[in-house]
Amino acid sequence: MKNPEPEGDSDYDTDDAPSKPKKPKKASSGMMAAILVIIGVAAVSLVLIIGGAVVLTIWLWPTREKVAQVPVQPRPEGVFPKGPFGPDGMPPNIGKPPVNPPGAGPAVGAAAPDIEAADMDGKRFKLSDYRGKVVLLDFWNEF
Amino acid sequence: MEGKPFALIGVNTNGYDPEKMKAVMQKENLVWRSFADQDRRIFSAWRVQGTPTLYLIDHKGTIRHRWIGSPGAQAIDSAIEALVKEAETS
Repeated sequence: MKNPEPEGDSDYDTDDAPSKPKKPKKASSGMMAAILVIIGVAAVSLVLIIGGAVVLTIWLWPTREKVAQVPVQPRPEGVFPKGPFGPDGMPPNIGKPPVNPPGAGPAVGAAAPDIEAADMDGKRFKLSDYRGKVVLLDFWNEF
Repeated sequence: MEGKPFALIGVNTNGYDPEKMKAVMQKENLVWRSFADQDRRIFSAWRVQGTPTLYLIDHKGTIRHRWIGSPGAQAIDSAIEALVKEAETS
């Protein structure tokens, strides 16, 4: 594309400049009207925006308070929701142990909390059955 | 440790039922008696953060050592030996 006009804004300004002063009086009254219109439009827009914001704030304020008042239900520690999980009835993260909230378990020097559950043959037994013996309790996981 | 007042007890933390746990134990060649922590009640009560977690409990039922992650066979063996001696002399 060939452009006969020289490039740059400054060149356009100098081209237009001589035409403007030809009608100075009419231009100034027209400009005054235009400025008044712009100021009017700006004022109306400002009133609408501020008014809209105020109306929205008043309208939404009770909702905001209601949302803030909803108590946060803490998830019970280590308790899993009951329901249909996988085909084997196990929680979906089966194979990976769930995460306990951080914090130490039973400490050294404390009495070991008793445990009662079934062994691999389905026979229930207790940790305290082994009282009188030293017990190495090994929490293990199939990865 | 045959004939000594010592027992190695496992707690499986996968949440398996006894049958599934037994299958895994046979596959992985684990021979010690283990609790099937099906509802993960033990896991929660003991606040287990990861496996292996090991507790060494003396003959009176007091926790004497806790290892999160294995400290190595030697550390475990010497700790057991000391507590077994304690149990035998009391």
